[in-house]
Amino acid sequence: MKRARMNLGKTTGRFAKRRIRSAAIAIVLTVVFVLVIAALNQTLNHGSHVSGYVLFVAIVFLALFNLRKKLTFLPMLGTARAWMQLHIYVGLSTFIMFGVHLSWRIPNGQFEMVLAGLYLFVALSGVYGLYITRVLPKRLTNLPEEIIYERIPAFRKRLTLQARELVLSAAETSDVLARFYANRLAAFFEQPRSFSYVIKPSSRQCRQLVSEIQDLDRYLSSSHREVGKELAAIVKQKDDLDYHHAIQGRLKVWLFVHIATTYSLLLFAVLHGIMAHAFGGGLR
Amino acid sequence: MSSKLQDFADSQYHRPDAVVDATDVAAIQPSVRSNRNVFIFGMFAFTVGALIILFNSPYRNEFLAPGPLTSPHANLLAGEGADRCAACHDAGRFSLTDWVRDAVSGGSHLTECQSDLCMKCHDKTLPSEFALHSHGMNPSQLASYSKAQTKVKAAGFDSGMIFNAPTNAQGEIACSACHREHHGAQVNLSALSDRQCQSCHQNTFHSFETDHPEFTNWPQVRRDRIAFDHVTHFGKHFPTKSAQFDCAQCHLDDDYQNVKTMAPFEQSCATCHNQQIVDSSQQGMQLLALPMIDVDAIARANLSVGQWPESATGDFDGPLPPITRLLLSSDKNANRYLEQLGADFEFSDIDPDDATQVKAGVELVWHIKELLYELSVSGNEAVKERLSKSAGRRLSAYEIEKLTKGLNVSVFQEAAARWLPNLSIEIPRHREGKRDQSITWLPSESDLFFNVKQDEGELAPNPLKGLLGKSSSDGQTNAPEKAIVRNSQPLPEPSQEPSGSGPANASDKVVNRYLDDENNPDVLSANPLRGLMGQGSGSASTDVPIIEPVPKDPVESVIAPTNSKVVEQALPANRNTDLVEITAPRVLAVTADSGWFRDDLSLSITYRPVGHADQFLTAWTDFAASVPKADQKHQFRPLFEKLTASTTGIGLCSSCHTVDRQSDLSFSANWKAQYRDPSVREFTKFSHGPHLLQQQCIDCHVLDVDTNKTQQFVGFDGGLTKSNFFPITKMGCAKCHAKGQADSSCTICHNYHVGGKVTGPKPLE
Repeated sequence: MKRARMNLGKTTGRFAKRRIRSAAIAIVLTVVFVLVIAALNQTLNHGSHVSGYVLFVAIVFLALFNLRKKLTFLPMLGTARAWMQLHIYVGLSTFIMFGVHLSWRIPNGQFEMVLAGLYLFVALSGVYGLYITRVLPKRLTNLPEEIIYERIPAFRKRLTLQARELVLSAAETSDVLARFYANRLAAFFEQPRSFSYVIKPSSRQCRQLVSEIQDLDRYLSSSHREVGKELAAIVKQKDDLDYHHAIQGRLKVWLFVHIATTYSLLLFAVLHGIMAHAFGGGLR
Repeated sequence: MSSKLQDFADSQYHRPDAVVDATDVAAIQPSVRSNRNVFIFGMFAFTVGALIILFNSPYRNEFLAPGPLTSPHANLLAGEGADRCAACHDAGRFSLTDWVRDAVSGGSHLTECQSDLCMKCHDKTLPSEFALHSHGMNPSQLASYSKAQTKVKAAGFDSGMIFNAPTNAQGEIACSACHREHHGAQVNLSALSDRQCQSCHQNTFHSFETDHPEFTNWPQVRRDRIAFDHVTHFGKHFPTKSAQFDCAQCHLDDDYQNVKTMAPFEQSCATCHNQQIVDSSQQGMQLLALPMIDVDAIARANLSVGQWPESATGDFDGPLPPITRLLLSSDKNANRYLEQLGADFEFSDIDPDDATQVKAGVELVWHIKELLYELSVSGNEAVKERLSKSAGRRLSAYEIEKLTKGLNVSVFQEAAARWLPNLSIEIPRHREGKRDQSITWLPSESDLFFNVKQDEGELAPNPLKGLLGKSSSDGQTNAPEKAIVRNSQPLPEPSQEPSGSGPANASDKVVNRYLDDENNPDVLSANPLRGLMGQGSGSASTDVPIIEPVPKDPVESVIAPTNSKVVEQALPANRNTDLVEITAPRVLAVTADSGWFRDDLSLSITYRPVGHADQFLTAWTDFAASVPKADQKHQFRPLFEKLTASTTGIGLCSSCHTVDRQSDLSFSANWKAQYRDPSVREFTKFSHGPHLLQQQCIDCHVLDVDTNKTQQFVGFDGGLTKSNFFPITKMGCAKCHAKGQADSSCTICHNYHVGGKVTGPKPLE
């Protein structure tokens, strides 16, 4: 036990050191970038050209992370974890690059506004993803069971069938549980959870239903009380399943928009670069 | 307790449908990954589709424009279609495909660069040749400035910084390097920060008061163009006249209240100096004059001058007017004799016993006659041709117009008709080499005093009317008084002239036009304008009476003598003998009010300046000054010296207007105190207006009473000399232009674009 804590402490220390080192490198490179662009602007050069190229290369690099995840058979590209670290720190640095590129102004051209909006959407969704991938998995580990997201509908179906079978088996001698299922549990098992639950999952409904099942004990025989307990356990499983669905769904959906918008961002950025070359002021 | 849902031991746990009946379609869901790919593809397809629609719609320009233009450029987007962008961007005329090609080819696909398109409109205010070079200046000229004043390495803008200014191989810099558009209507496009200035300028300027170089003799950069001594005028001349020495009397504001301009002469100097100019101009400036010749000496040398006025015979005498000398010098032969006789030659210098000198004098006389003949035939065109030859460059009609100032061919024709009536016969014969040694028709001075034509009479006040005898109102022709008679002998009546007297005898009795000052009041010394202004007629003083109307002369052209036997004998057979009786002595004729006089007494055509800034004198000064080494060439030196002598020159022009020697050894007369055009941008700008709201002139311009500028205006070196004022110092400006006070950024006092025209209302001359 003591040894495990020591190992955990070492791991935590390495993680902190790595974070500090990576953050320091990112900050130094960003400061260098800012100084170079400032020097270019002071010498009447178009620093926005250089900052635009750097920003574009950074975004392409960030987009390649998705490709790297698909190319698992190419170990020479580096580990996915290393890519993830680079993705995080380069991604955060692009906020500064973006601001410098725009000279910290709000763009007032329509094309540029769309481009800036796409960047901000992708970048902020990335930050959001970074946040939820750090917070939500911990919440899931507190649940009694790990669930694969894709199998949740099947498990939901199985639990519903299980609940029905229990209630039907008890209905031969008493209709208390059957009526309770029809009135209170059918919607819980057979209908999707509300949007508010998806946004902010809560066990309040689960607790309410379990409490109501327990309140039925006075009307049930001892054998039916055992059925009620099993029914309450299935309700809890169903609620955990819904919680998994909501949390894992959130972890999946942010990536939907993050990646999908990235391709639109790349397309706009390429066009922006082409136009900057074609329309840029210059000499013979 | 229920069992766990997820069985990771199941080899097919990853299959969504593994735990349900395969027939239960509702439980089978597509994978998240496949859903995501569909979503990403759909999103990308939507973006591509939207862009294709936008790029091919009329809304393209509005969508692609990176932002609103500044107000001065906003009208460029007022039209329709791609041309709106194409006004400033050549890419506006092309498609997306061309843009891609341009980007791939490194910018070589499009034809016109943006800076060239800028200059299509801005060439009106910027010097186009070097507009894209730094400061809009010739690089070599800028390099000379840079070496002298700053540490800028002009070649290639090597600023010593990590990055250099974005110039091309020619050293040009794009307009957009400084002027960044599409940032809104109210953005100041011309704003330039101090740091941007220092992208080229190596000297580090943290602030004006600590790092700006000290001014050197500012604002004195050269000798004052007008020889004005502030010290003597402030301390001596103004107090003598009890006048207040007020700066604003001479230094006026321009339209912008930026620059102090000089008040005109009439306002600033005329009160004290106008009369000096008038007095110095009394003698006038002869364009042409017939000299006195020694007929005996010429006869002894077996030479002939052909017909010559009797009144111009005697001893060799008379100067060669500088303009006559210049006109004669265009002829190679005449120039040879002029060079032989020297720049200071006068006819009195001819030794009558020296056959060589006599021959040279006779040749010059013939050339003078030829000149008069040419002038009487071609007028100002002959002047143009001769001056062009002498100056070695083609004179323009405008220059000739100024140099002759209203003089027309009729003046020469009248002069030739009066002085040398046979000129039109003699010169062609002379050119053919036919020199008649025997015929020398010498009209007496009285022959010259015939009635003038009515149109001349109306214009001609006769300043010598009182000097020559009684008024014409008595109907008699009176001989001039001793003032115009040699040896104080009265001029005989024409009828009393001895019969058979030859030229030599006649010359003893004729008018001596070159008497000493005591006996010969200069016929031009009187101001004919005074007579016009109401002076009484018949006065013997120098005030000129208005001439009385003269009866119309029946002879319209050549006026022949009436009462000289010599003349009668000498008259050619075909000569017009329709003679006219003398009714009034005429020695002076004036053409219009142009300042020209034909003096039949001195046999000269003379211009009398009309006062300050006389166009004739300034034109001849500019012409003479434009010739390199005019102060050394014998053809030009007399004219140049006559015009630029500071105390003895005609009009006293050079007593105030300095003359600078140019690099090509020509000269430049400084007619204006300032040649700076307020509408032209210079490196340094200063606006007097706001400064004088809080300060007086003397707060900055402190008079140095110990300076003496008299000698500074002598000579032709226009370089820097000591001013009457202490130089303005940087600290004088830094009292206010310091941190926390008035702005002290570079562009407060300095312009980037120099040489071009400032847009705005045209300032007053």
